Amino acid sequence: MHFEDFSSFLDMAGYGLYVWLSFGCAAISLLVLWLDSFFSKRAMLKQVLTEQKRQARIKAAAEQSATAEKSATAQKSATAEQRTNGETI
Amino acid sequence: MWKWLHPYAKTERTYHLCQKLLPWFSLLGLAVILVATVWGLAFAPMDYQQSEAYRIIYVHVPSAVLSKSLYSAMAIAAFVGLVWQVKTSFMAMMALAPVGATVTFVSLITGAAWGKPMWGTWWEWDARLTSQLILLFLFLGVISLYKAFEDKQQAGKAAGVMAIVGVINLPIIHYSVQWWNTLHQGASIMKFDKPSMPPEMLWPLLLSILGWALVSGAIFLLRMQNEILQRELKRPWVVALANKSAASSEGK
Repeated sequence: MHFEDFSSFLDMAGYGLYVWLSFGCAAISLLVLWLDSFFSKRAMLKQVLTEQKRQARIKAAAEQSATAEKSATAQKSATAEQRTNGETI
Repeated sequence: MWKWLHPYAKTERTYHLCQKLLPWFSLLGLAVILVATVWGLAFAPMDYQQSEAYRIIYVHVPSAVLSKSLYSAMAIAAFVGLVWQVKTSFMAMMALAPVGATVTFVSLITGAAWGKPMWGTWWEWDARLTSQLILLFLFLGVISLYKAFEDKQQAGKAAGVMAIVGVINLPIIHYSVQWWNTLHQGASIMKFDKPSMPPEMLWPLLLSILGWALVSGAIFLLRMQNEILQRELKRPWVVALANKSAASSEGK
């Protein structure tokens, strides 16, 4: 160890401000860049999942409305009440 | 060699290669950078002229060295993309640019923090400092030019040309301390006859350069994956991957 105690390590013979400014700025810059990269990767993978769920929902809704239409045409004698039920789906 | 390289033009293969390399670069880089920084800050001897202020060298030199290497790497990626139209090379270029910009920014800030106590000024329009500032603007220019285009193939071409033209700045940075009278000191490691540093100071410096290179590499790998994902969000392999990673994070 080059320094005698911790306070002289912090002081850096009076140059503490400049030395710690440099190292702090470097650490923060690299950390921010890494965090940005890490979280944008997570966000993108999440986005893929939500998109997949959305597609599944759209597909399910399309199938449901198709079957609803089919049954509606099959029962032309259905009451008005039943028709509104079909539409709400 | 070309036969071996060829599959990496496919994005999926490249993504998985990045995934495989990522933990090695991250852990090794973090370990090396920590050892080198602690060594440089607390164990290396004091400089007889600059006292303890010289310790800024252990962030300033690695970031400055890396800024030029990353620019070269980005320009090579741009060249490969323009000449051979390899799909992944523009992605590599765009993954490198933010890393390079950050590292250049760090080299400028640490340079200013070193210049204030030693030269009595934070900033001087001197050849080395100005050309390094231009390097930062080149990185930012490549990023913004790429973002300005809707069509990403077009964007890659435009930004790639800019990256290649900017290579002219690299020798200017390197020789600026010889060509002009500058405040900045000359080289102290890259002299083969006799490095003007004692080994107790030189080893942590070389180690910190290695650490910075590994950490930059790790961030590049991560950003490369992001570039690939962004372009291929709808591909089945990405959907499968997202499901797999969601399942593994739920299992934890």
